Amino acid sequence: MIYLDHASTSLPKPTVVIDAVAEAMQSVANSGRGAHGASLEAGRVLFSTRMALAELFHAADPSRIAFSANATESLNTVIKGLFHPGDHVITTQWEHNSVLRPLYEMGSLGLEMSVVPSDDQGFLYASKQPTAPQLPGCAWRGTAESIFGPLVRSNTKAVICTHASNLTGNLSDLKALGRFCQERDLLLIVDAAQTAGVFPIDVQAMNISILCFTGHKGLQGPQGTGGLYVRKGVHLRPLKTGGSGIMTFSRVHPEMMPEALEAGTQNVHGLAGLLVAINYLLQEGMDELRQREQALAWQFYQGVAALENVTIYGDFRSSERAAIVALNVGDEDSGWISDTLAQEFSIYTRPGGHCAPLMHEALGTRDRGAVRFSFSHSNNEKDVAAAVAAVRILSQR
Amino acid sequence: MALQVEQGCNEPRQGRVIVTFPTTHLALAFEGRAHADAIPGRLIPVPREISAGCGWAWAAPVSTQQQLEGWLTIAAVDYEQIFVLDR
Repeated sequence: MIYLDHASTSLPKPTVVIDAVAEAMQSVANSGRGAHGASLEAGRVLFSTRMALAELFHAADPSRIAFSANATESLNTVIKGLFHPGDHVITTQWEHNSVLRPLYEMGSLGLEMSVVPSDDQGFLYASKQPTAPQLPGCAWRGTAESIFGPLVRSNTKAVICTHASNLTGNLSDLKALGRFCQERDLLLIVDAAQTAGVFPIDVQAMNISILCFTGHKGLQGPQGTGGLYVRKGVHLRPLKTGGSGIMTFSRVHPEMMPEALEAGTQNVHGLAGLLVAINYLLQEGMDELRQREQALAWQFYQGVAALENVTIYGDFRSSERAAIVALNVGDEDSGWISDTLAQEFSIYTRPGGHCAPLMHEALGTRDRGAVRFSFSHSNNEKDVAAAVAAVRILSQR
Repeated sequence: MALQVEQGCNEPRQGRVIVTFPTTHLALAFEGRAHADAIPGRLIPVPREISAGCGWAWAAPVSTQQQLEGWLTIAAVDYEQIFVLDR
């Protein structure tokens, strides 16, 4: 198997992560439900994982990080817990359905929404006057002010956007966006599903109000882990209320973070794995790992870009992007290409819509989707060479 | 100032000083700091004399109350209240 679908989930997980989950399943119980050793150990796992995430994201207070099942649950918590009818948000055509669907749902309850457009190479642009693209590493044709500014209204509450497109791998400049939001007194809500654990994210320096992340992609942790950082002063109505391990006889769910946004048994065993995964990333060096996977994606891009009959989507001015290459072969259905890659070449990719409907509208690939190759530091040059060779064969059929 | 909570039980157990917290996160933060500074005690279920609502509290022998309270003035740890129980 040559696994090139890391944007769906990272595979395989580091051995230390697998071992940590297995070990936790043998000795770690439920946090806050007793004070015996196994329950206290569960509490310590949660505490240590919050501390590790706070270090990773440069959050001053680890209690501002609540756990969730994944970025989708985090985004639902935010979108349904933050806005009121009559509020307005700005989002983009890059967004995943985990942002769009909750926004549409809230739209039926009175939330207003504006969408920053994307062109057919996945660049966000100012609808009135697109300009030359920013420096490599930011797929904008314009500045934060020229792209997002015209959409701001008197009732605009937030900008909500992904750090990197899960389809094209194009990146936004969070620091510039954070500065813009600060100047306009707007909340900045970031979907870091594709970038947490890969790209440096500093919630303070980037003025990020809320960061939503998942544990099972770039963070190399188990599925069923994730969370959200909520800056002090930002209040969310919880998505779920219920058992909290404290204040049993209160009819109201606890209102202090992190318990305010956590109900029921947490995925302690999974978070034991996530803790080890974060430490693994910090130990190995997140920058070094990122550069390794970017180099592999770049090697693949250069190989397929030279092929006739292959269309590639995205900002490839440089390798400073998420390690993703989305393409199509001739007029072929992306599903057929991806299935053939798997069946004939044991190369695993993702075809179709990628839960990013507006991105496909922008790329003109709504009807056929695209084949997404996504790389990790666990891949190697031989994987890339094999993938290029396979695409070459299919492009010549 | 610690609250003295009277007990009706005649069981001859040593008294304890109890520290309560608003969240389990803060209880664990306290535990980490206390261990690092070699402060006696451990996390226990919140005694029902204080609250029937679950959660963790820090418990230490009452003989260490002065040490604990002294440490709390300089340690900059978050907690809710301090109680002294007869047992």
